Amino acid sequence: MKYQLTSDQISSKVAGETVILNHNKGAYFGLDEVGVLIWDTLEKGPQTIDSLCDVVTQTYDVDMDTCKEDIDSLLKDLISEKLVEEIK
Amino acid sequence: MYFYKAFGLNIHSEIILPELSDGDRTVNADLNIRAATFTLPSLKNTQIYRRGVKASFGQNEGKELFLYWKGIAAFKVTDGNLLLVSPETEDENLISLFTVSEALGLILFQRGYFLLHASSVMVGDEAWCFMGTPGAGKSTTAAAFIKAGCKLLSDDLTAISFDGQGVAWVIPAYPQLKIWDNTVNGLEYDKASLQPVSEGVNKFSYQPKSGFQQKPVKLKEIYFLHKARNKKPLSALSGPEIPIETLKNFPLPIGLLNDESLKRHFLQSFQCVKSADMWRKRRPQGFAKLEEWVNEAVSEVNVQMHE
Repeated sequence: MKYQLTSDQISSKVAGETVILNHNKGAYFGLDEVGVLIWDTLEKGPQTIDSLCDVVTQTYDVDMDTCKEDIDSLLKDLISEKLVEEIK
Repeated sequence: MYFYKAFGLNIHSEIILPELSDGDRTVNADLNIRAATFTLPSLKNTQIYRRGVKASFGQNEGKELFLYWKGIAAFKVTDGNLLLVSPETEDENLISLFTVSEALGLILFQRGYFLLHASSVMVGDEAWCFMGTPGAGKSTTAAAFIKAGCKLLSDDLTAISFDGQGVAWVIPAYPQLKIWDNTVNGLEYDKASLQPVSEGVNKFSYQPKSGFQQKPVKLKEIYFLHKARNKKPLSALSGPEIPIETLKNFPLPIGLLNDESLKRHFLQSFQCVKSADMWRKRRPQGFAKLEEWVNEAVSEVNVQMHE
């Protein structure tokens, strides 16, 4: 299973912060530091949860299981806001 | 036919618009303004008031935009180059006032400009914009900068365009700034140099027709003015605040912004940050403090320019 950014979203970066707009819904979102790292990685193309986890563990001192759980919960949030979608 | 210039556009108009700069009759029109009757589509109320009249807004599949002010006029806006006016009053000043505000704003929107409900002045060779809720001091702040020798770029509606490098430029509007009589007194403007405004008994209009800046000016500072004592006197806008604050200060019916146009607004708001600083600033209290800030700011820019 891979994850990718939807066509409903558009994002912009300013002073290290990423701001996302769901232009279909007219809603804005901000991300925390780790969220930005994941978002940046998704911007490069579809990712698996493992590939996202690799990126995060390269930068942050966190064990694989915790990392996967956290990413999974962030992806669920992003999916419910239609900013990210699952592809097979 | 009347010939005008406003927001960088050459305008040929069938109706008289005394607020605007005189134009060149030999150049082709970027915008035609005609008196005409037309059918209105279904309209929705907006939150836009002028002279106590609430505007309603509509659009059709052909992307034509409509604005209606009961008892004043209906406007139909097409392709960023045609503005039809159907007056409901004989008062030419009133028709002009409503034509050169939101109706002209819709033309600018169709032309792709980034629009702010802001007053703007030229400080040194930079454009500075002031926003805020009504009463926060947009026009008063602009008036203080003008007293300090700066040129007026726009009152109420500021149009911004982006060049090939993504640099933001303020397109000068037309030579009119409306100020309250307490501002006139507080900043010691010479009343003889001002025109009384028909829309309010205690408002005056400053009309620097000669030498009005017509060329675009590079955007440098944007201030969101407030009067709240519990907020910091000055703070830079954070990332998420940028599209939200600019959206709050969108001068036209919010129904215009959906999907593609909301996307454009979002991206343009961040494009501004590449050229300009964005600040939330508590309005200096009293005219003395305002002038103190303005004089410091102006001399700082002038020093930088001569370095």
